[in-house]
Amino acid sequence: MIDPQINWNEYVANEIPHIASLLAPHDIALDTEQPHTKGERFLMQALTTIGGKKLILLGTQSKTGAKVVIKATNDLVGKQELTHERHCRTLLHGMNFSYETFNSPKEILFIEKSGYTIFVSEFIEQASSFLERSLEEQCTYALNALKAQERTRATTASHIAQIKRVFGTRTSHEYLGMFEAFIYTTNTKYDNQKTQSALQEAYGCLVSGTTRIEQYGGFLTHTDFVPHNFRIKDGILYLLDFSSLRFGNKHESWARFLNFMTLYNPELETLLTTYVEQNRAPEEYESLHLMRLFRLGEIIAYYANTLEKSAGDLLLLNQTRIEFWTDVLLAELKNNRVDSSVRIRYKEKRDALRSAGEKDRQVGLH
Amino acid sequence: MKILILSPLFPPDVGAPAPYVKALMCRLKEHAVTGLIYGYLPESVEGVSITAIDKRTWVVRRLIAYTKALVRARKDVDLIILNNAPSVELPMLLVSLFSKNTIVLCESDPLALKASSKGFYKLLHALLVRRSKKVVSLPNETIYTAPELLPFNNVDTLVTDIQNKWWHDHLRELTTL
Repeated sequence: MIDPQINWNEYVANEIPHIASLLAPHDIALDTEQPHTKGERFLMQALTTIGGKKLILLGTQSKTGAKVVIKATNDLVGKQELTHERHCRTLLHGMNFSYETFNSPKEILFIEKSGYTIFVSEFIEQASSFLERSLEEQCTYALNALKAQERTRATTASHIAQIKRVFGTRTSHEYLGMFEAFIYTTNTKYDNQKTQSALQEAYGCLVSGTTRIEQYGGFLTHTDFVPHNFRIKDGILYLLDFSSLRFGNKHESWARFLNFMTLYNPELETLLTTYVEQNRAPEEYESLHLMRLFRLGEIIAYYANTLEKSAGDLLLLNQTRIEFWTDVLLAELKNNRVDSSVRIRYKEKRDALRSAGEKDRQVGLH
Repeated sequence: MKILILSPLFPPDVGAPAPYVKALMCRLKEHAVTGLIYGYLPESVEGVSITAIDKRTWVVRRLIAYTKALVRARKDVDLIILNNAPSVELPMLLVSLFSKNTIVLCESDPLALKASSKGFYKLLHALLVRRSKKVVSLPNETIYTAPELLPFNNVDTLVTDIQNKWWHDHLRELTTL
């Protein structure tokens, strides 16, 4: 069996010179240090988005010295993803029923040459990462961004016609189908009764909450709304990844963000959950709960999917991750939060098992 | 009093007049209130029965569906509060040709009001104004939208008092015929 890590390292080593030569005529030079190719990057294969093979690189414009971000690929699915992302960005800025759009880094270059698709955008320099900011700032930025997504809903036949081909839509039926796939993936790749029964219980909740999921459907939602997908500069939040935009349940992005904060900033999670409970209709709170279950099922399946590509400490780490997210799911099923001791124990184990490359990649990421 | 509220939008749909209409239904609890709205799976309001006409169909089909639903819903109603928009005004105008319900036109959708400044929509709006007992304009939404309970921010009780006073006067204006 080919080691996926070695395979990835070879891929990176082969691709970088080609990409550098394609960028050179455009006065863009690649940086020597490329943090986004390191660590566990090789494992990343999104379960629910297009998820092609691509490189995210950093570079500099020779003339101006300005830093840029480069997304490049010669992989067919990866190319589709980059083109899709560009379409999403263009359509989002032109939708006639959108009440508010997102700020995005300026596009500098988009080329399709010698079998490669390359997208270059400005690098948004931020004074501090999201999690380094004060709790109040984090809360304000997160709320504003989540609320901005909610202001766009496709409700009429003409709205749906505008978005269907580019963004794609998710109905309650599709959410259930996806969750069935999460259960199948997990059951076939991770034989654990506790996880399997938790997923089954979550599925039961989703089935009985179908109407609630559908009730808040048709909204613009970012399926990967977490700090490493946005940057903040001069008080403006810039969205970096447009390929994860969908029209679906409005709480999908909330759920992803809150589940992320369960691990990284539980205080923020509590503030945002309380906000929904105090300011929104009771149906919204239910819908958010259901979407959190859905997203937890997804993250468990994601890590179950990585097991066969992992070995040694990384295998142990990914098993530990599944155990942790199962505990979070079990707590969420009771509408509770996971105990802080579980989180602390998990973080200690995770940090001990992470590779040096992954630790480098994580610096300032969130 | 039996009140029927008509609206082009209702939560979870976004934009005016959705939040206003929901707040109005909540505040009119002492009356027997029903709602006829465009939307799909609307949020519930305790004690209020809401009929929703799905917008995800062909425009003529949904106008016919709304008109039919209005014919049924207007029976025995003392007051119809209509939130402006051509998609609601047209069915109401047609139904008003053979009914004698009291209509209060509430200009709660600024975008629709702008659209009603010319052409057929202008004519439609003008005809409905003539058939309405009164026309009520809404101020800026900050007056009627309850302030959010935000972390790190205290709700200004002065704002709440001003809003409660506005709502008190507004409900009296709507229901005193």
